Amino acid sequence: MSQETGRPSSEFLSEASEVVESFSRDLLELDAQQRKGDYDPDLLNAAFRAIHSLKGLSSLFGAAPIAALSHALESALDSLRLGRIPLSQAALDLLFESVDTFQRMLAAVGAGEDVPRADALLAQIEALAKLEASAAAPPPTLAGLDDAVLGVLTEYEEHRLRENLRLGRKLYRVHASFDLMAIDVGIESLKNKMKAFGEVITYLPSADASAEDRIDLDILMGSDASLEQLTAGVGEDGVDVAEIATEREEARPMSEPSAPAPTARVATETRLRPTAPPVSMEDEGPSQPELSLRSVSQTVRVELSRLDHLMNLIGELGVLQASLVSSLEPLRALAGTADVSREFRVHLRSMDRKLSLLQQGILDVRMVPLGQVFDKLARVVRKLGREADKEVRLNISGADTELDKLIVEELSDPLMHMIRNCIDHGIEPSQDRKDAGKPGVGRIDLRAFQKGNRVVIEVEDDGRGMEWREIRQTAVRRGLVDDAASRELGMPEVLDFIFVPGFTTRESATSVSGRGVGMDVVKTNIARLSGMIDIDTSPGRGTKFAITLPVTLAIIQALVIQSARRTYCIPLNSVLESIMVQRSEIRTIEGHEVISLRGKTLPLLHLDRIFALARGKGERDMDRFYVVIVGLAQHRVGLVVDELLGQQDVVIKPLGRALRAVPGIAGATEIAGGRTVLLLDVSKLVEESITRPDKSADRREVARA
Amino acid sequence: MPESKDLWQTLLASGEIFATEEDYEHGYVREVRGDLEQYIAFQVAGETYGVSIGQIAEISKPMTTTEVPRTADFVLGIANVRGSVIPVIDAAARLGLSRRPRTRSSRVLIVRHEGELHGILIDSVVGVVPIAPEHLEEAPGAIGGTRGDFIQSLARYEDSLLIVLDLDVLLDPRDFLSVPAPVRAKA
Repeated sequence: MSQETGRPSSEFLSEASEVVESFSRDLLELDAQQRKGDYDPDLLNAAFRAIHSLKGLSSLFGAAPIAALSHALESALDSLRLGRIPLSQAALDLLFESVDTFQRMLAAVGAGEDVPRADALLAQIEALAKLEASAAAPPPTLAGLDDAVLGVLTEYEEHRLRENLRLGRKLYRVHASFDLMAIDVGIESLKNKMKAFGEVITYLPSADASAEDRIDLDILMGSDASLEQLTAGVGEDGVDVAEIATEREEARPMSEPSAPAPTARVATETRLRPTAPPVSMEDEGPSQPELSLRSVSQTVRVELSRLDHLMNLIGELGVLQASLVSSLEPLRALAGTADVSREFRVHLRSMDRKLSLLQQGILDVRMVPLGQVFDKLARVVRKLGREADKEVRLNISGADTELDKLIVEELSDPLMHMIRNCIDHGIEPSQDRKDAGKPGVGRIDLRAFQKGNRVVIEVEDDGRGMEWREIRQTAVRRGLVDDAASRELGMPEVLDFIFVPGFTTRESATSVSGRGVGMDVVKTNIARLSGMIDIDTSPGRGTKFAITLPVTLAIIQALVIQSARRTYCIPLNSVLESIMVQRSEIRTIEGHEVISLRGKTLPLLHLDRIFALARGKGERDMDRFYVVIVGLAQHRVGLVVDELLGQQDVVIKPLGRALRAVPGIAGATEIAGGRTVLLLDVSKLVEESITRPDKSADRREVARA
Repeated sequence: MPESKDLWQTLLASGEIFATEEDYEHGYVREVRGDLEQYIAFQVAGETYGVSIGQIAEISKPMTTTEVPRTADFVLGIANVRGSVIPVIDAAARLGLSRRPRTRSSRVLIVRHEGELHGILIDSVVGVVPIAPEHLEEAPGAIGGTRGDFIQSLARYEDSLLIVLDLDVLLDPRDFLSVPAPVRAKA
């Protein structure tokens, strides 16, 4: 029932956020191109269309604030693409801000709250749209163009003609004649050829068709190429190219709006007789003689919960399959069943293969490219860079690396914190960089790549790096470690301190970061995703954070262990190795039990003690036991268990609201034999072992043992 | 009567309102009222409790549970019910009554609370009781051994009392966790 009422909102949400995402991508591209000097007008068109459809969507859904904002934006974008107002960085700022605002609004819709109004932004955008021609450069006139032509041109087409002249391009008229039956193919191929030379501005139907079954078109385009080059490039049967002779003064650089406008006059051309009724045509124009009602996209949107359901079913099928295998055993012992049981086994094996294919298939469906997050980060970099008045260039690679949707969602906040840190702490002001012999523009690399069954995401800046000895001093000053002990700490241990809540070496906080919140949150979030984070820094050269994550969380490989006769699973991606330890190898340092492993000290954690598991009689004294070495986010701890039962693929099920908060338990899963067992939250257990100040209870236990 | 228990389940699952044995005793034809609410009445440690039938998803025989460390005493653990993992609690322990050994009549009420399933182990199911609004009393405070805040209301039926439980309190997740870090007795 509740699904039915929830559906329209979720469908609106996913559609609207797709539109906003694509709008944002167009803006980023526009921003990059605008900085280089010239931009592709089609990007503005795409942005305009995106906002137009958002307006339609949101008014249909009844989200008035979204509709109002998109309406204002639509007008502003219209003015921008018509050249009534120039595309400045200030204008782009407003557009980017509207992306954030849209996302806030959509989030409110998703949470079922009232959509916040954005009156301030709305006013700014309206003001921008009103700037109109006053701010824009006086456009070159098209005085020379035949009035008959001017009459059928839309305002946008006229603007593009002027714009091409202003950029010093030549205008061409390409006359083409097409067979009526093959016009769509013909136009498409001609358009592609022409696009390589410049901008196709409009298609005008031409009246002097040579035959009934042909259609003649005049295509106006602007190009840097000479008439010869263009003729050679697009010329084919039925196509001829003529330059629209313009009497113009030399092309002016863009930055001189005050210079007199060049007059472009089209020499009278007899062939230009647009007697056809002046229909307004979009750029797709006549290339769509037949409309199909089939949708172009061949995709469906699916809610994650439905995939979870399928995943659960597959998990149960796996358990079922395991019990089939075990029931086969007694069958084999029976006389005269050899053939049957062999056949049975063959079928089971093939079922096993099919099951794992099915499982893999569903996992693949959940995968989304990291580009979804990276796009958002590119926006953050741009905004923060402008706020901090630092020039920063973001290089993205591996945006097509895929991860489970859930992980990608959870990653955006930690990554944003890290990027903020890079800009605020890492990248130096431009002058300092030049003094240090580095390029003035700071660089942040955001890389993603797959490594085995993990995905690695690296955030690297070429800023000032971290002086680890300074961090050590700060740690001593803050009482995190005493002076004597600190001397024994090397770089990796010291860098751990930046993950301590509230830790900062900065004296004052900025609006961006430096308040000491951040890295601890990053660590917790990454650890929750069973990920690890590593830091590499070199003073003066920069810092690199590397996050290693499992590709998916829905199905994981787990190590099945036993402690005090209870069975638990440990996510295998946090297990470094398992070893057997003699009781005599254990030492005690300040109440902590430790062992030495290859010259390093490894703290031990007894699962039965931290979970207060009651043991049966005679179980207590064991001379040797297993230690599972787990490592998460830079910490390594040895988990003491009784038995290792093997590895298994398990489907993780949530514990539900009532038990979600149990510390150290991440979920439950079913293992062979239909038993439900708990999955340990390794990061929580490790964290407890680090933060628990008093281990005296445990020490007493050891003394007695 | 193990057979009739299964019949209960079937009838409950179908969601139909059906005649109870009492109906037959009273001559079957009786005043039809639209405002009667149906309660499942059950026994815990000798007391009779009720939960509105709308909150019950299923009544099942006790299933195997997996114990969850660091939870309160009354949490028996988790169980797998048709693919979902649900918490199961012991009603007697939760209500602060003395636990009784499981018998053949022990059942687990699977209730839907705030969209999630929870299992409650009880001693036995008494039946379905239709209760008219005028027979419901606001919770007057503690009754017998039951803390007042667990009680949503009291219902009188056939000269006895039905304690209607407040699932918001009974299944409050804050109570599910054990008191942090059990402190060991000093040596």
